[in-house]
Amino acid sequence: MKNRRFLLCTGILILLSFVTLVWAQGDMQLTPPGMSKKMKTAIEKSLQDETLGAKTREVIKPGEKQGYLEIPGGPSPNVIVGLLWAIWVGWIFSSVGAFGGIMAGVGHITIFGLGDYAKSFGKGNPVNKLITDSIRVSNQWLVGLSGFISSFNYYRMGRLVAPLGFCLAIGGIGGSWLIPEVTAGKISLKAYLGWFGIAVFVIGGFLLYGLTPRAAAKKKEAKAAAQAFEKAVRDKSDTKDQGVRIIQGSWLVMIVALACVVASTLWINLVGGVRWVAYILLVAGWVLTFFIGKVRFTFYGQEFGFTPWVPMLGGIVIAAIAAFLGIGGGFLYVPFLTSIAGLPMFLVAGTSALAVLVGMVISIFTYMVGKGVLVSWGLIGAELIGIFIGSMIGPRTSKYIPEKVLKIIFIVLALYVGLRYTTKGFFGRSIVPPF
Amino acid sequence: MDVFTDLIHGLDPVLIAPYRWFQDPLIGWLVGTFILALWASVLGLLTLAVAYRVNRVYVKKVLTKTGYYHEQSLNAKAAGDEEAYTKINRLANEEFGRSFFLLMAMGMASLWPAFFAAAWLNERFGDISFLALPAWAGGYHINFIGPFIGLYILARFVILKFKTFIIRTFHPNTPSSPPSSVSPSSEA
Repeated sequence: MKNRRFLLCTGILILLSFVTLVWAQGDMQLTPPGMSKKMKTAIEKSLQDETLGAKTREVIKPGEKQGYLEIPGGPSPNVIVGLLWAIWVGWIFSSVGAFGGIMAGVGHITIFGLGDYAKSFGKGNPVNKLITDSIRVSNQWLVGLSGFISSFNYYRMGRLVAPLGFCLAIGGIGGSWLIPEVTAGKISLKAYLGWFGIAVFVIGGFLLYGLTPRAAAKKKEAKAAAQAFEKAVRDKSDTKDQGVRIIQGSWLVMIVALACVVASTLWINLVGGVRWVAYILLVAGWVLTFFIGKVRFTFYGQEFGFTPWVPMLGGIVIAAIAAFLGIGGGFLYVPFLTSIAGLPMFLVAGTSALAVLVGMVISIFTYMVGKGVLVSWGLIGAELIGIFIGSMIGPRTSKYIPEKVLKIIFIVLALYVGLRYTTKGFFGRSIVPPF
Repeated sequence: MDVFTDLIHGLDPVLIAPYRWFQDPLIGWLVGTFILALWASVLGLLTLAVAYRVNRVYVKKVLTKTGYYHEQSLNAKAAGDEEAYTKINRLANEEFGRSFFLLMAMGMASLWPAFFAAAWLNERFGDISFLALPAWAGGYHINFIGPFIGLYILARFVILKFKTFIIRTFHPNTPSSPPSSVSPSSEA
């Protein structure tokens, strides 16, 4: 009886999320005064072009109340819709995990009515770009915060492999500034939506694989192996040796390499001119990584090791994807660190959190300082309240909903969200409702 | 965000008061923002305490399961069975994903007031720039957010030290070092 009631409640919760998604399309409220200089500059710049200016005049409603980023007549995220959506995101975070990040992105693009509004300014319009980047940075703030909280705690627990995090960061920092450098201000929401949809499909694919007989067999095998080792007694007397201890690797070269890529980022954002200096510093940092030598460390008395350029290359690819999509990249760091680097999972979380944090800090810095992107602070605050409430509900519902059912729900959702954003992004029209 | 904007406006007289304690505008701003950061930190930590209190049974259960697979994966590694280590580690990673995001969502609870503080600062001091580098260095300005983040971290540090001092004074036998496994209370 209880099971049925909770399944019903969860069903209603999911239904509500779809309803809010549809509702938000037509529900645009207005908010208070004080447009920022950056937005004014973007609007004025768009007015210099005849076509873009016409679009800007058509969309902005002078005299009307100011909405998102203080634009007159702009959408004002409905507080109830926003809170409900954030509760939903928090529920996913606390019951399923990483998919919550995707749902936070969906909220910023669709639920708050920001995506369609940005698009209405037309391709190449500076106002469109400013709003699009604002959506991305809002996502990055949420993800960066989680990285900060996790890194700090895992460092205190001796569960953070700093050299590995640094090597990922050496690659990641480059990816983080290269992508905004190439795309910010040059990419409209339309293409961003399409790529976001592709990312959702990839995550959905991972979830779907988890349900296949092959994955189930592997899991069963792993469980049996765990039971077999349950009885094996490990020497736990020396607890001091259980934290991470680095036993080999050149810190000096690593720090110089990291300094080079950080300098390249600062140069590109603060100095701006003579851009080839930044590119040279970046390449120098990346090349130096090949001279760090193998890094070895112990954890719980066991020895692990990695070749620095491997995580560096992984960091480039992952941070580039993360910065482009405005998501954490945590979902890519984790399989990378477990599968390619072969790290025990107690180290994966802290190390990937450090890499996410470094990538996000640089990316947020690049967008907010280098490109002058604006963020709606109150909106993020309201979302955090929702996530907090959702994280209270998740543990309560999870014991009534089988894991398999949860996975199926999210595969269906991933398919829906992926289809919606891919088709809307690349073909201009969603093939699933709301069109 | 009408409700939240009204809330921010309603609190404005209280929040702005410390900014007027000193004649020097810079000192006034730093003191006022530090007190604002203290408010945000205290409110956030209280929210986190509620989150942990409400979820403690579930958190313990999730962490126990995660710890189990972690132990077994390292047992396999110690026995030299790399294949079993890889398999169990993957399982441990799956379990860990659950606890990781749960704790992360709970940890975020402690930060919501900081964003409302930033929203208020944006309304009050959004157009003020605090530092300008010469033109050859890019003519770079920073707004309120950089100093606010710095003062917020300082406020959290002060509260942490104060908490440790209180615990050491009134409960001298309580261990001060963090536990070896994930502790939700340390998410602050």
